[in-house]
Amino acid sequence: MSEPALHAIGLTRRFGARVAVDTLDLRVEPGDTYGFLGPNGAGKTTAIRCMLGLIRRDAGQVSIFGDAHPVRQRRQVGALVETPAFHDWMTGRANLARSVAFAGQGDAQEIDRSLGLVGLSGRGDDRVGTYSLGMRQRLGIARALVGRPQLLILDEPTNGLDPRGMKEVRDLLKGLAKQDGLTIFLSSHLLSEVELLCNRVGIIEKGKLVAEGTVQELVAGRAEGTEVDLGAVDPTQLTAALVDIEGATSLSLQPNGRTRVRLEGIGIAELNQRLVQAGVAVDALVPVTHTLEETFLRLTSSEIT
Amino acid sequence: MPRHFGAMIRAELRAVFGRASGKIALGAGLLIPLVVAVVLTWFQQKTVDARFNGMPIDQLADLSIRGVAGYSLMVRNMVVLPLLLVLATAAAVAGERKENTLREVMVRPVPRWTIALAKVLALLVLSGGSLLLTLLPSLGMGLALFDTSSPIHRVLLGYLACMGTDLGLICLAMLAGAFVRSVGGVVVLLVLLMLGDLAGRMVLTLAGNLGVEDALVIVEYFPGAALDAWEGWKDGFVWKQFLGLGVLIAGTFGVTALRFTRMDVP
Repeated sequence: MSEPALHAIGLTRRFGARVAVDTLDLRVEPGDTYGFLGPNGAGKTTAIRCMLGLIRRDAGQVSIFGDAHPVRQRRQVGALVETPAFHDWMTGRANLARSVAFAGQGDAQEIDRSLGLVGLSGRGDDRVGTYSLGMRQRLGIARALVGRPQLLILDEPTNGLDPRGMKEVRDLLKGLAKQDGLTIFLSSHLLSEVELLCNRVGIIEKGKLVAEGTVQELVAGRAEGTEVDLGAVDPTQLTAALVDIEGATSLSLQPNGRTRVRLEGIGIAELNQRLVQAGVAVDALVPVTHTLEETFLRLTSSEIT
Repeated sequence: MPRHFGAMIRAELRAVFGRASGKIALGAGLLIPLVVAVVLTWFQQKTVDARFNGMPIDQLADLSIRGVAGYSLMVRNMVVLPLLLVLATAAAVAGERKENTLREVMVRPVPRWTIALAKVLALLVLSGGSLLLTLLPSLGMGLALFDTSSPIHRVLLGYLACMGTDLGLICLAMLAGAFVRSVGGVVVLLVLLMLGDLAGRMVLTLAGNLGVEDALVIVEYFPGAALDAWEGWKDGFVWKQFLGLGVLIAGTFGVTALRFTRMDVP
């Protein structure tokens, strides 16, 4: 089995008494497009900064493609952290050249390629001070791409972009993941974007990872147990039978009279079999699916970022 | 040391020379010898009747190639260039921290102390550039307009020593910039530090003159005394000042490098 592209184990960072990132475990496989979600102040950006070595971690380890060396591991990483900062008096191209110089990888052709990918070829020689917020964001992505990293860590990559720009960046990232095989780890406050872009999602709340899985698993509720809506000819008999079935927990009575049940350690087929054995005449057994937003809201107590 | 350290220095040079503080430092470096030469020409031709303690200034001033180069160095180091060097250093560290551009180089695969070293070396090139822009015109005008018989080797050594004292000042400002997140804050801190240093040296000198043993010896090891080592071009260089300068540079850069390595970058 190949090394994970990004592997965080027990990542912890405290600010005084407050624990911003709490024993966070993450595993991003090569080729994944991983969405990192969480409400405001959940610890997303702090976790990203810890992973990039921008801030010290109080505990835990981060390895990138199996390399735990704090400097060497960054050779394979391109990063965009929050609002990208530039020397405004330099041109876009000169800013990228500066990054190339410090990275020790990439050249003028690479800079041209990156500018082209984000649609800034025509403005590369203009001073960054004249760029709009969206153009600065694109330039930030271009900077993350120079040197052809294997892993992109992007904090809110579509911040400040108009709908067209957001779609272009989304298409760009999709293309990079599909054609170039890039692994992408991105945090975003746009759940729909994560749903469209990411194959795996992690949700962080109060510094802890509260759910992780594929988007399908999360919306189906399988990351923290499957949920089904059950209907029976005799609802009272159904309720009584569920009490005796280990791994099935009644959650609530739905408006249509069905009972919502969470299954942990027991499959839908087995539940049906146990109910039939108990003499319950099951007339409906419907797996529950949620939108990513519903899942997010259920798992996090705060507002959406 | 990264293999691409040269490219890092070149990138820092572009940043240092591209900022207003860098451009003004070079411009001021060039302007100073011109002003000094004009003033000395006035004295030489008695265009102005300036006197000091009753003596005509043309008899007190060194109206030679040595004088032009030496006075230019003195004027350079009076206020303008040290302040501009501190500003350039503060912009390269505190300014970049505040604008978050330091973060963008900190995520690159290089040890952080090498980033600090690249900045110091680029700023040292700025110091050297401004010194050359002061020295070369002053020598040219000295040759063209004044007495050329006086030896100039000590003035040249003074310029060389000045690169050392500039390096001390840069390292001191780097240290301040590694802890303070505003350019103005670094300047204020450095000014306060220098005033404190001056006051301390004055008190110790007074104490020495009043008979307190060792007071005058301690004065020689003050950072301010080390930063004045270039003044030896006039009456002879003092090795203790250079020793103090070495300690100042090594100490401040060491702490800065450590701070760079350990600091959280927002």
